[in-house]
Amino acid sequence: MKTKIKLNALHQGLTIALVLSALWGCFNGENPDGENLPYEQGYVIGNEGAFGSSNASIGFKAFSGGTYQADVVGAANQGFITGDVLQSLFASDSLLFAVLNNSNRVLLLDRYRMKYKGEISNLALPRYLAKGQQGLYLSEWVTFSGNGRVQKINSATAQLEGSVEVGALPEQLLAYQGKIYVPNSYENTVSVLTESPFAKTADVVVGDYPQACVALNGSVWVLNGGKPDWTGSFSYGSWMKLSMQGQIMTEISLNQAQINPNRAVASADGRYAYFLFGGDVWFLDAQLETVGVLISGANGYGLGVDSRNGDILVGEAGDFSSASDVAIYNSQGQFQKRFAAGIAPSSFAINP
Amino acid sequence: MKTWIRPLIGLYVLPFFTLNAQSDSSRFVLLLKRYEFSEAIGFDLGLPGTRRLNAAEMQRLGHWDAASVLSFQTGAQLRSYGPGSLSSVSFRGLGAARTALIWEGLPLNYLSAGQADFSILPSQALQTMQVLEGGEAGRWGSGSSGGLVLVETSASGKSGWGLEWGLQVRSFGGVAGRWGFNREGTKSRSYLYFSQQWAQNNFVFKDYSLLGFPEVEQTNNRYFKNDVLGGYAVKLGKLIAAWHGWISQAQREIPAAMGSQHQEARQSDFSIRLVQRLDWELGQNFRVMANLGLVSDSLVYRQQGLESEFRSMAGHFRLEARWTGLRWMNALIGYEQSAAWASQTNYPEGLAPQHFFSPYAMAELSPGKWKINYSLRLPMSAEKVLKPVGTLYLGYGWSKKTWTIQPGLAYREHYRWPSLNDLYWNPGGNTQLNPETGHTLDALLEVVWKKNQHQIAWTSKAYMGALKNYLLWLPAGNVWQASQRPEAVQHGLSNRLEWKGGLGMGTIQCWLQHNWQYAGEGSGANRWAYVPAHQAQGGMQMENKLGKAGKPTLHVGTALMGQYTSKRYISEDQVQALPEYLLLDVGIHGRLSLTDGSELKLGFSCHNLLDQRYETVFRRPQPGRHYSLNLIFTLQSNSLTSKQ
Repeated sequence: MKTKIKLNALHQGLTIALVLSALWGCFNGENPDGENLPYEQGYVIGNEGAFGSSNASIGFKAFSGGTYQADVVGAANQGFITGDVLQSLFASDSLLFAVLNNSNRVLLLDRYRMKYKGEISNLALPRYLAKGQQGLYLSEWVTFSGNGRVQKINSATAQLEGSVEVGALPEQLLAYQGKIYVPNSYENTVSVLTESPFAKTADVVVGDYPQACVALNGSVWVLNGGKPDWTGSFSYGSWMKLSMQGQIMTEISLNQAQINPNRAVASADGRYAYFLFGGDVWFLDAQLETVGVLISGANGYGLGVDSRNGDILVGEAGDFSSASDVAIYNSQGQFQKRFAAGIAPSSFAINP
Repeated sequence: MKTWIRPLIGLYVLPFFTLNAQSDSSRFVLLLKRYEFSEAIGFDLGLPGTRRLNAAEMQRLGHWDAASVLSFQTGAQLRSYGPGSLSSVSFRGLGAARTALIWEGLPLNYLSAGQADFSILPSQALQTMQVLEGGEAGRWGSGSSGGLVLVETSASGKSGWGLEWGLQVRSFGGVAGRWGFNREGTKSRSYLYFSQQWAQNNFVFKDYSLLGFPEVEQTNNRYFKNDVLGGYAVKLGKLIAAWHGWISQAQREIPAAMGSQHQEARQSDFSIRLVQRLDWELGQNFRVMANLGLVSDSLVYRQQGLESEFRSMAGHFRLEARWTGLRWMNALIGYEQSAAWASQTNYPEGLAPQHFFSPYAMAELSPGKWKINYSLRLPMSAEKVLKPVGTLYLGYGWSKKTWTIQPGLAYREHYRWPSLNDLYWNPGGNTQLNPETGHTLDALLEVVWKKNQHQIAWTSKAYMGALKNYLLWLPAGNVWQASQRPEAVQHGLSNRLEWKGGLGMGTIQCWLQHNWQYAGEGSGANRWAYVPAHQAQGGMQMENKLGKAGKPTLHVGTALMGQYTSKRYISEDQVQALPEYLLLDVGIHGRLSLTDGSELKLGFSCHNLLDQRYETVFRRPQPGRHYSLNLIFTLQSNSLTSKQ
């Protein structure tokens, strides 16, 4: 019996060692063979797919143009199914993390080959990833109504290292200067966590249904979505600037129309936030503390920023049943180009 | 031409045929039973092209539910989330919400959920099922532009008492039982059936969402269903009164799509359906029928702390007066009224009730060799009055010794009120939906050759049509909701060849059906999702009789049935498709019949003989090869008497 247990332990140890070495190679690999990488120099498009249908996909479009390549994960892995509701993409060194909300997993892919490298499972409705000083942080809804949590992930081994309970439906979190800011999108709070120790220190009361936290001009800004009309008590969205002590320094109401803003990304220079407001792309100027329309009629559903040149990537809203386009605008909001992607393109990564 | 003009022209054309027909009364053919609505016969579709299935056909080869029966024996297209799970049935490429399901004269779907889940109709609980592709809004109202399915649970009993017990055992932990009682007297009849189904459904499939694509066992896929059906009819002078009740309850787990995680998703369904029918014979050629029905549906969906409840109640009233003063003509006027209420989790303040009412009229004529059916209805709701919709069938029959040839043309208009489900399912709903309207033109040809014990029939239908304000359910973020497309078109061609014959002491029946169909946003544009270009169904059944007349006989038979579905896209952009599949079911059975009518049936079937790995809904795997064993014992009152 003891021999069996020892053999099991040895087997498990070897397995872990193999996984760790593989991941180490992934994180530090620099294409040692000098091979031509199939998915470099282009946009990686996360197509959300329809809830419950398991038809999410990742596509690729070269910067130089050419044909949009659909479902590159399936193509690189003999028909492997990406999963259900691709909530977000997160690129880190040579790995691409694909957060699959309704598959309860995060896929780890070779960023430039799209080969399956592993996955993080035992998750419950994961949403967004952020990279901090001590590791990666992942927001999870856990349930559709109760409290969610934030998982800490070892950025070297991709192992879960603990979790902290936060409010209901945590969304687009921000890791900034040793703290994690978590908008609880079914409440009116932002949970503030410290990275070391990994613990919650405060729940800051903000506006209704906060959607995203972004760092702009050295401050943390919160996009409050406001309550939708169907709740029976509509409220306007707003932007709020938080002090490092968690106090609200500035509030900019988004009362221009009875609609709710969502999704926010920081510009390449960190001065602006772009967000969706009724399908249009709006900007928040953190320096002047003003908001305005940047791209009218963008019909946006997903939003991203090209870190190389500041271009804005807009995944256009479709019918969630058929493919939609991705449109690219420069940082002044001028249209650059457009290409067809997959079902509900909503998240982006840039492969240099 | 405006749509309301066409039925009016038809109405004016009718008297012309009537006058011409009266001059040659010797060729009149006594009509037709489609107006029959007594407790014994029930409603009859009666239109050319109708397919009628009886209890024995539905139970053959161990088909568990009405969805499976329809997919093998009619031109229906099945979309199923797995055995026992939600199964919708559609015809002619139109969505499942355009298949009207009517039980004992009571519409079951359009008043509440919009589309019927045919998996909750156990085949063992049904006595007859009639299917008419293309529907008939003039007589049956909203939501049948794809097809019309009439189900009846009344026992078609032999005289005296009968007891029935049936058991079916199926692969993957499936067990179904049925207990039945029926009594057929001279002045009254009654029936009571109880059926249960349980299945583990833990079949194995290849999981393409896991690295290495391992074979994994389906989980969270159990279900348990109970149905109690009963009815009583009594003849009181010239009045026949009948009452029917059907209570069904189902608990179902809902497995995740491959690569998805619906953790612990489950659904509870509970329905109560009641019908009271009064049928007076007021004169020699005049009858009046009042049909009053009540449907209460409850659907509760639970998943990971999310709970959604949809409860609805609908009342339905149908009043019809029939005149049969002429041998070659039946005429009917009717009035239908219904009201539906519903509540949904996301609408604590309640939903607006729906109220529909419409008068209608029908005439059925058989002057000489002509056959003419006409129906006209004025659909109205509390908010809107639609243009009248009508159906006109014009056919002509030649017969010569062994041949009968009957070509015909049918013009049908359709409408469909948005259901409560369409309007309010999603938080926010889509209360802006308009009624769907449209028309189709069918050309039919029926050729029958009959000699001695053999009959070969070929039925061919070509159709084309258009719909306005086509209701289309599409995902919107984390929910699905109804949207509307201004125009939709459909066209297709179906052919069915059937041979029935006697071979010595045995019988044989073979059929082959092929449908080619298109339904989409516009001619040449993309098809609607899940519409295959080709479908085919075929089958062969043989039975041999061993034994002499007047003595117990043993019947031994085999059956082979198949269905083919071609590639179909999973979304309107036609990027990704599900591959074609061919299913074959084969079975043998034995039947021991006693002289008093008692019977013992034993059957064994193999389903999906070719072990096809297929999906009817994207990422929802279906089981491979599996088996079922059926045992049915029927005891008739004569044998009870003799034992006493």
